[in-house]
Amino acid sequence: MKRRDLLLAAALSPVASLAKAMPNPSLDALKKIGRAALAQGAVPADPAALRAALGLHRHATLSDHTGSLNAKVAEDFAAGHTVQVDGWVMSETEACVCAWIALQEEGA
Amino acid sequence: MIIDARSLPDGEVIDADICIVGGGPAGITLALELSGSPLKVALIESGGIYYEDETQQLYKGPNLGFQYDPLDEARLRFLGGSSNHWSGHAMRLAPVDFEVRDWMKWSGWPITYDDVAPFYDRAQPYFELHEERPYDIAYWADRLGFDLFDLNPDLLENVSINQSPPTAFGYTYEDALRASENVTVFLNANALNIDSTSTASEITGIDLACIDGPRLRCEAKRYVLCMGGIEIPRLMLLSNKVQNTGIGNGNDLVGRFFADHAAIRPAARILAGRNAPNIDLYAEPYEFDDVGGMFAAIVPSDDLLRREQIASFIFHMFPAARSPGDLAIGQLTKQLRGKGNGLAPHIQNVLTDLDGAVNGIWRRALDTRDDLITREWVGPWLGFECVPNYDSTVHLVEETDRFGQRQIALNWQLTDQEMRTVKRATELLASEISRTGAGRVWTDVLSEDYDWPSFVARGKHHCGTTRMSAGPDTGVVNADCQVHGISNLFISSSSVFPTNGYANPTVTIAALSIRMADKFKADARAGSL
Repeated sequence: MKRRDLLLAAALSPVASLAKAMPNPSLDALKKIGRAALAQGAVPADPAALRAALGLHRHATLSDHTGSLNAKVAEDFAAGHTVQVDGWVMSETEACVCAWIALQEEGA
Repeated sequence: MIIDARSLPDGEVIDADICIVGGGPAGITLALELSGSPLKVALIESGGIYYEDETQQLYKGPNLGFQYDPLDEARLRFLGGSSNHWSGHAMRLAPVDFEVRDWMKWSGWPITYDDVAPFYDRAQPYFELHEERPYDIAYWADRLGFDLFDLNPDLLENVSINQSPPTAFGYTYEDALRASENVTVFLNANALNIDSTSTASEITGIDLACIDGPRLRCEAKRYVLCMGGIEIPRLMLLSNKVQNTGIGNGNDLVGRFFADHAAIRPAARILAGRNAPNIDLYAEPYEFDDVGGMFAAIVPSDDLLRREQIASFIFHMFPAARSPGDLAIGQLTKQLRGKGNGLAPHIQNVLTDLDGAVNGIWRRALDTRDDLITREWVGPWLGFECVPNYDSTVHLVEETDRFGQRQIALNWQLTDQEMRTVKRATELLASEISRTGAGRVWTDVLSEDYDWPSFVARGKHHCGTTRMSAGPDTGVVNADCQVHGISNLFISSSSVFPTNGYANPTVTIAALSIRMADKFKADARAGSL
C-alpha cells in the first residue's frame, strides 16, 4: 500500500462501516464512490464548498476531524440526510468524505 | 349439521333466521359465534369439504390492470375458503389505520381501533394463537433470548406477527359445525342472485344452485355476505332485478376501491454489521411448544404515518439466502449488468463467493484483522398498503360461467402514491439500519428511474370493494357492516376495509364477524332482528 493510502486509511473512520460493506473494500472503491457522488451532484463539486460541508478547518485533514465526522454521519442517518450513490445508501457526510478522498487523489 | 345441498329436492326453500353466504373464516367465525344461540343459522358454501376444480373455475375472470394472479387461483372455494392456503400470519390493524389522514383521500373508518379491540382478543383463539401478551414484541423477544433492531420509535417499530398453524377453518371447525344444533352448513350451493323488495330496501331471499343439481332458495331475516372482496361485489352487481346497477349500488361504489397488499421482494440488500441483531426471530416463525408462535417485522410508527404522506408498510427481514432470493439475486445481477455501472461483478462476487478473498482484500487495505466472511446478507421484503383508489375496480364482463352468470374482471390500479411509499419506506429502513450500525444497505429502489419490477408480489387480500363508511355517498356498508339503505343485508369480509394498513386482514375479518354476531344476538334478544 502506498504511504498516501496508509495516511488516508487512518482517516477513514467516518466511512469505515461503508467501506466494510463494499464488495471489494479498498480505497479505490471509496474513491470511485466519491467520483460518482460528484458526478451525480450529490455533493458539492467545489473543494472549498466540500471542505465547508465537512466542517474541515483550513489546512486540516480528515484525520484531524475523525470525531466530529463520525458524529455527523450518525446525525445524518438520524435526520434522514442520506444520498444514494452506486446503489449504496449513505449519509451525506460519508458521500462528502468519499468525494474529498477522490479530489485529493486528483490533486484538487 | 352439514348437508350436501345436491341432495335436496329442486325448488327447496331453506328457512333461517340468519343466512350466511361463504364458508371461509368470516362465515365460519360468525356461524360458530351464533352456534348455541336461539337463532337458526344457514351457512351457504359454494364448494364441498375438499377442493373441486369445477367449483374453483367459478372464480374465473380476466385481469385487466396491474399484474395479478389468475383470479381462479387467488382464492379457494371450498369449506374453509382461502384459509385453506393462507400463510397463518396474524396481525391486527394499527390505530392509525382507522383514522382519517387528510392527505389520503377516502381514508378513515367510521369506527376506531378501540371499537374492534375487544373482538380482536376474542378472535385470537379461532386462529390457535397464544393469548399471553400476543403482540408485545419486546416481551417475547426478551423471553426468547433475541435482540431486536434498535429502531427510532418515532420512525419505525418492531412488531410481533402471531403465527397460526395456520388454521384451516374447514378442517379445524368441521366437527363443531357438524355438531351444532342451530347451524346448518349447506355445501355445494352457489349463490346466484339476491332478491329484494320493490324498493330494494329489504332482502327477501337468495337464489342458489348446485352444479348439475337442484335450484334452491334461502329465505331469512338477515343475510350476511362473507365471501371475498371479488365475489361479494360480483354477486351484488349480478343482483340487478330491482336496482339495475346492482343491489346496494345506488352510488356506483360497489366494486370500486379494490386494494391489496403488494410487495417488493426484496427491496434492498443489507450487509449485516457486526452489531446487527440475530435476525432469526425476523426470518421465520418461532413456534411455541403449546400453542401459537410469533416472528418479528419492522413497520412504521403510527406517528410517522400521521406526519408523512405515505401509506403503511412492513419489512420482513429475511436472510437473502433463505428468501426466494436465489431468484432475486439472479435478477439483481442481470439488472446491474444491464445498467453497466460496474457494480455487478462486485455484488455477484460477494453473493456467490463469500470466501477469503474479500477478507484478504479488506485486511490488506486497512491493516485489520477483522473478517467480513461471517456476516450475512439480508434481503428485506417490503409489503405496502395501497391507498383507496376510486379507479381500481372489479366489474362484470360479458364472459359467463357455467351458470350463465357474468364473470368479473379485476382492474387493479396502483398510483404514484404507492411508489412514494415504497421509496420512503426503503429510505427510512436504510437510514435506521445504517444509523444503528446494524448494516449497510444497497438498493435500486431509490434510483430516479426505478419502476415497478416485473414481479410485484400480491397478498391476495381483496379489500375495499364494499367499503365501510359513515354515509352512503362514500361507501357501501355502515359502521355495523350493514349495507346502506338495506335493512337486512350485511357484509363481513375484507371487502369492507376502507384502508388496510400493513396487516394481513384475516384476524380483523374474524373480529368483525364476532362483533356482528354480538349485534345479532342483542337484536334478537331485543326482538328487533
